[in-house]
Amino acid sequence: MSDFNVELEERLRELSFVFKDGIEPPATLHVGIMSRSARPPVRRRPNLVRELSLAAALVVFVALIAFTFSKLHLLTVAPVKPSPHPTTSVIPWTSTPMVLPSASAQLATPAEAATWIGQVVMIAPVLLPSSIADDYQAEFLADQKGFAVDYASTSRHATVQLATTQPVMPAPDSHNRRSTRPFRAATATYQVDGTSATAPRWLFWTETGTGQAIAYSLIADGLSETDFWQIANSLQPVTTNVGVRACVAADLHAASGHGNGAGGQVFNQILLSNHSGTSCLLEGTPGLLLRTSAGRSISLPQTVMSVPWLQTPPGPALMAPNSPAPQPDLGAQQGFGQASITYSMWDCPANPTFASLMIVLPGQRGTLTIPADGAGYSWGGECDGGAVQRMVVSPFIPTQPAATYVEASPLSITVMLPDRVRGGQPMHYQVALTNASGAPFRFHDCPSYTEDASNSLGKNLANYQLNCASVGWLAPEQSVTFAMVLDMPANAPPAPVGLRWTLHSAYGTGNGAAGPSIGK
Amino acid sequence: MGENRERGSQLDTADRSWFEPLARTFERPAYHFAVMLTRDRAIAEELVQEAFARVWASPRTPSAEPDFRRWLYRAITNLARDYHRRRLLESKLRFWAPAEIDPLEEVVHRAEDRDLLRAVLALPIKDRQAIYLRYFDGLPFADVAQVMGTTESAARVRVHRALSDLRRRLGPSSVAEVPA
Repeated sequence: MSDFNVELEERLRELSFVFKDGIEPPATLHVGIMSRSARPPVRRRPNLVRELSLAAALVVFVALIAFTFSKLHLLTVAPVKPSPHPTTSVIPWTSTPMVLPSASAQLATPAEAATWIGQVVMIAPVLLPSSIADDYQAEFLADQKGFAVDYASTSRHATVQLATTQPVMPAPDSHNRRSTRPFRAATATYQVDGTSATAPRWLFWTETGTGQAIAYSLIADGLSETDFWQIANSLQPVTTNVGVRACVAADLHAASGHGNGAGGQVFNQILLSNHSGTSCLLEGTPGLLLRTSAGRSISLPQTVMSVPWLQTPPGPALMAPNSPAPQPDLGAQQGFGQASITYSMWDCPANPTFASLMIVLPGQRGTLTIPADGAGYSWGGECDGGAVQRMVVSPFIPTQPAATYVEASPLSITVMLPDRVRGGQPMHYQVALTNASGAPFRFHDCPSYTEDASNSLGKNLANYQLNCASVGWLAPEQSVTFAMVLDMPANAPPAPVGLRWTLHSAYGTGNGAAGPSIGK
Repeated sequence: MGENRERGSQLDTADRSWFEPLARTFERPAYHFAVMLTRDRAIAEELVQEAFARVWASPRTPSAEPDFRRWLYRAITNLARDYHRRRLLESKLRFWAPAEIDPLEEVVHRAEDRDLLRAVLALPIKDRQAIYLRYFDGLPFADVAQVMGTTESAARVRVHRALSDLRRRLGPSSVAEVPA
């Protein structure tokens, strides 16, 4: 092969990192795959004659419809997909597709929450209050796109919710006073529910961020007018990753960490720190190349390690300046400011010896070469009796302090199924959610839920988003009931059906089950 | 050949445990492959979801990883081919205005070697597919051939011709000027 071809091949391999790093799959991809594969697809083989026949049939059909309409004068349009008939207190079902489940909510002090949110959220400005009293505990969710934090007093009934979303504000009536007022260079909507001095208060406004407008909400219960505005007026931007430059290879120390393994799969680790004088950001997935002691490259096809294999979720890593080189022998990195990469590789049956690793930073930001101390191949399993060459590499994983998660769900779930359902028809049932937390509760955002009857009905699994926008505060022991619809397969056997209804939310997962019979 | 699931097995139809890890492992590479074939992110997402749905529904889908990947890639290839055929048909119908293709310009813009990426994206679909499988996914020729539904020697010829085409599109100086 000519030198030109060899050079071109090398450029193509390098280009693959840029291409794959620059094209992030949409967040809905996995959900779409799992939802669509819940049932066998309708097979259709494209065929020119058939397509044209269908087009002709469509034209005839439209003409027929037009003719029919011309003859009708009073016609009521039927809904495309009728909702079940809700009882007065039941919130109707909507076929909103599921959203990705949020991570579990974390517990922290207000100061710890502020640091965490600043490290994770990638919007600007991120506003947090500076006048939250010491007796408040923070319960928060944060990802790159936004955050929600609940401050709850540990000594009295007082809660403050701040979020980069705006739930539905209760409609104003004779008890609710709604007004507009200037707030933070915007026109805010302010509402007080009731006449009590510590009635719930709502404040919605829009911040003009660096890229796009950010809708904020501040909701409080148990606070006086003065206390509420003291907190609102103390909101100020916290330091975030927005605008921080990307790290280049010259900024970084790297070292092989201590990996671990399970069932023949070896998880190797690389630790990274920033020795430059300024903060920088590591984002994306690096390329890894192995080199022999003679300098020859061992190029293994590389894919991105999926999240379930990782103990800590990947994300942009804000690298603290002036950091010393990582010291793997001193144990795991603690706190914010450093990063790691996890990778596994298979090259069987050859398992060629390698001496060093080259880390190729995404975005053509340089390479780092480190000794491959202790790194090794995976074995067994897929290597048995076959030739396997591959590598899975994680995105950069920021170091974080150990998190304390909210483990107990504040909601108890009751699934109310009909006595009998028919195969091939939708099953209408209800789900009641009861606030079992002992404190007032409201949704940050509408969580997704999964209806899973796969144990008794094969692939009958559906994912939707809960129609909870109209649900306000739930007092302790207060319930809210939702109408549900699940399509029963036409070939469902005449036997009891087990339904597992799982609510994905920041507050944990609940299950409900019952067993109606199928009636033909 | 990997382990094949049996048609009609009750356990098989009810148990999704084998499928989800494979979906998580391969959805990202599958998406990149589909973007390369279609040059359109939205179409690629749709096509990957449909491909997974098809391999899930097929009783012959292998559940061992390497075979599953080849099977999935074949499904994506077939769907991409159908998509391009449809576009060709649509372009011949005067009254039908086909949707504009997203040229992935922002990815091209960020690539340091953007001339090469533009040239790859401009290749005919089979050449583009061969280049992607061989150099972007690093597959051996035997696997490239299986995904493309051809023989190993034909796959080698396809890759070689695609490289020649790329060299021609880049011009004689472009290849030599890039530092090693």
